[in-house]
Amino acid sequence: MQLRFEVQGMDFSRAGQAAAKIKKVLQQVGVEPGIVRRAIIVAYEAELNIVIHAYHGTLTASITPRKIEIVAEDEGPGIPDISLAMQEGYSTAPPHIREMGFGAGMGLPNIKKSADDLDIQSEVNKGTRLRAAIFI
Amino acid sequence: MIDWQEIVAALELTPHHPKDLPLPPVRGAYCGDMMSDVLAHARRGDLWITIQRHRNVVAVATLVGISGVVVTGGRVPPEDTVALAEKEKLPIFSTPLDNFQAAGRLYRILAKAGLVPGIQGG
Repeated sequence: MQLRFEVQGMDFSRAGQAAAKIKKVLQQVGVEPGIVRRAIIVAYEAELNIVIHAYHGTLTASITPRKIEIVAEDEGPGIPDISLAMQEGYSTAPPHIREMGFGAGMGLPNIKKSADDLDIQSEVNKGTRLRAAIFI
Repeated sequence: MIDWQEIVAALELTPHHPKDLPLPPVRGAYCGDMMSDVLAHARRGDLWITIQRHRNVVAVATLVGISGVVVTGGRVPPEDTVALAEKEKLPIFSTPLDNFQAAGRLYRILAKAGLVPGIQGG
């Protein structure tokens, strides 16, 4: 089963909706709560990264009996130094975003902690592709 | 089982959800203003104490399975947040207390009920 969502940069009013729909479907197909929790952390953080940093993108969740794979693909500024972005506390989010409680530099570290497998490809001034898998 | 009336009185809460909204059981609490922190560390059934009041609070609370949101410091949740909370059946309150005071008063109630790990009830 595959779910696909369009995500707009800076659209905070809809931010989190894709993760919420993914949660609902995972619960409906009977995935255990601990796995659902990890999957929604990955989905929400990946979705919010597009909202905060990119112009637009897509979030895709592929669900099989063995794993949940979440792919976030965006057109945006890209990540110049991925290892730096993976460090907890490092963020390039502007102050007005941080005041809302986003951009704490926890997004990618949260994804890394929650996913069993993670791959990030990024090209500066082009975009980023994040693929994370959670094994069931 | 925690009595919501006790929480409402002790934390000086004003509800912003419909009067007839059923209040889910409170099993613990989390205090935090960063969305990623709450998403990663709060637990299902927690009451969430925060200064944040924008509508993404509802999104994060719903994803975690929060039992209710307490917006502190006399801040009132705006209409769009209240409307989304109502749609998601999420109890949302405001309090004049700050995060520290609200968390302190709630800690006492939870500890008494044996819901703070490592602290005996009574």
